[in-house]
Amino acid sequence: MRDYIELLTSTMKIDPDDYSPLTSRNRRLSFAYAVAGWLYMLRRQKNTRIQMVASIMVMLLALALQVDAVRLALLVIVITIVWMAEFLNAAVEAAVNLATTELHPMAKVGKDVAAAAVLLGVVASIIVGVLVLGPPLLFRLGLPGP
Amino acid sequence: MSAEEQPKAGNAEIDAEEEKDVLITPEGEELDLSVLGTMKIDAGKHTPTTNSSRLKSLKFAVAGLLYVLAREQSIRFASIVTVVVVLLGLWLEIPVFYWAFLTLALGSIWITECLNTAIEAAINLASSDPHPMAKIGKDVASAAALVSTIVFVIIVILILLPRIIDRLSSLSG
Repeated sequence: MRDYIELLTSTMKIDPDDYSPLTSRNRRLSFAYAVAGWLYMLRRQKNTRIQMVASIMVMLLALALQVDAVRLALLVIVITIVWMAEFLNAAVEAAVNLATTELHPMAKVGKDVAAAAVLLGVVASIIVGVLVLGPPLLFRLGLPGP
Repeated sequence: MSAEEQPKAGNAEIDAEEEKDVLITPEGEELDLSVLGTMKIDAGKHTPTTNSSRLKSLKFAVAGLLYVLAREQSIRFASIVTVVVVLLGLWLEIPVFYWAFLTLALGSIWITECLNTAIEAAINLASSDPHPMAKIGKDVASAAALVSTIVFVIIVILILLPRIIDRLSSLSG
């Protein structure tokens, strides 16, 4: 039992500042870094721009179909999940490139599996999009819904 | 949202830190710490492979998915859970709308498990020796997976459990 508690608390005893060249405890700075990361994604990653357009179009479609607030919330959550997966994928990619500039099997695993996370996010968002927007869209088109 | 944020008010370092807006790398490269600084960095210069084809991106993502299905115990567990939840959902005939919640909950598990595996690979790549920061990276990434599992359990309790009890009581009664 004591060993298990020791195991559970071992990580929080590590001070990350000992190993970081720069630490920010300032909330305003943390926010600025987050915006900087976002700007980086918009400028350097084509997919993020496509994602931005797709997100706006889905929200416009949802508003045009006048879906209720709960369904709108579901769409917002699933769109956010895809954004987060995409950003975390880029972060993992950066960490892998930082670790080595040479070709390495674990670099491939890291990058491919992070990309798989984005793919899963996209699949989940398509399913949720069809479930949430499908019935009102069919109704609007005058087709029999489920 | 940002779970890593640990405010320590009244820290003397803050003021000194705020004045710093440029860092110099050991290679002599300048790092602009302003909001517009990050997007000036060209990632292509720091990677051995660059890929601009969307079809290839999809291929790599599928390759990653096959890797986790073949190698990761937790992903195999997640696939079993996914199949069980889908079968339960079909048996209980839950409304279309609730499928969206189940998809979100299951999707979050898969995504965090994949990112956890990816971060683990990146850390193992960075160093094969034990290191405190490697421990933090791996433990915190798996904490994210734990959070999504807890959320999944809550959603299952909210959506599936009442219907299971209903169905079982109507079967016995």
